[in-house]
Amino acid sequence: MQQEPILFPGRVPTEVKTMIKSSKSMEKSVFRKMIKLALGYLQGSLTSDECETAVQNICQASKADTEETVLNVCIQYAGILTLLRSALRVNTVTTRQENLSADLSNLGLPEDFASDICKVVFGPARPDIDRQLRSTAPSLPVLTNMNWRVEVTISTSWLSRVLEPVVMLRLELNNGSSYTFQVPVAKFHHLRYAVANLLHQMEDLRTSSICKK
Amino acid sequence: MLQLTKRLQEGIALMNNTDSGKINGLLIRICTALISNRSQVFTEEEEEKLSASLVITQDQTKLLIKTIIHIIQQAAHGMVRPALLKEHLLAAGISQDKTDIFIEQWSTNAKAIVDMLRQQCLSEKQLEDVAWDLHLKSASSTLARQAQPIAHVQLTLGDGTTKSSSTTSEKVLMQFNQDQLYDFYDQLEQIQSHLDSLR
Repeated sequence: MQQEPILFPGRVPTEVKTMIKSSKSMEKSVFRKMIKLALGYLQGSLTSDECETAVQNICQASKADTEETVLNVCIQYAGILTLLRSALRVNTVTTRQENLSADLSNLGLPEDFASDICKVVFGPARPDIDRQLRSTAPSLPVLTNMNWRVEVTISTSWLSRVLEPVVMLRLELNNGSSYTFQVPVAKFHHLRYAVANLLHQMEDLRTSSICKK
Repeated sequence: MLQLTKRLQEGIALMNNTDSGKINGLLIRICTALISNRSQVFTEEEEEKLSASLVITQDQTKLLIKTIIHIIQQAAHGMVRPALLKEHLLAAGISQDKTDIFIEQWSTNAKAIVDMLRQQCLSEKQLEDVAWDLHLKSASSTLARQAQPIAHVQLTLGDGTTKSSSTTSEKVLMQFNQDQLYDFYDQLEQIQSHLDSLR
């Protein structure tokens, strides 16, 4: 039964083709190591030094010592990375595990390697993986920290008795910028109202679209 | 209330010599400008016309306007009651009819002027406006077919005066997903409870 290819509906990338060809002679432990490394990289939980050491380990494990064999290992790793990236994009609710597994077999991947990939995609670690993937998606600056201070202005050069509260806010964003500013009480209420309104609308949106899903 | 400098005394003398009706008109105009926090009450053209109609020099016109503004500002600073203001003005040498005009205008406009001054703050950066956008993220290169609501909030920061337009204000754009927005709201509620405890 030929079905619509799930992972690569267009062209299959070269590194994936190369990887599949050499997967027939690859050891299972090496394949698993590469998957582990690719996952760590995609989630952003490994530094570049850790990645390099891991790749070197993989090269030693697959007994690659000449320049050509090391290059081959790197291309295979690239293939696994692309494959995993596409596999993780797949929606686990609408796609069934058997279909993904069949698609992988159609590409030419040996059966136990295909089941490894499916274990990652449909496995229990998926919510964590998803959370990490969402945080690396393109986004505008996100508020990381907010410090505040409530002050009461006692008197000024133009009015001797003021006794009016003022809020000072410092917002720090994840792009490194920081903004310190005053918020007069009237504007503070406006801000609170806007955020409450937004939350309300967000909740409405979430409950309405989930039904469609 | 009034420090009688030489310059102020000159201004008062000038005012006493000017027609009461015209002083009333000036005072009304100045009070309106103070309420809307405009720094320049009259344009150059208007000052010229004023000079011509009062038959005084341009410098004298400026002095007259400054004197009136100064008196009102001092009254606002001390939040002086009209009865007390009357005493101060008479003691400073202002003629009876001009004093009556001042008292009348002050009684009408004092609250608005003081309220406006109360809101003034010295800071260069103030929250001027809050604008927002609600989006539904349906897919990305990392994860296909998701349904995540994302809010974009834009804060406009400026110095709060009417002069600050798009040239001097800064716009801060941030994004929030639902959890992040809840956190933000919790912190705002905390601040509000502190503000409430002050009352």
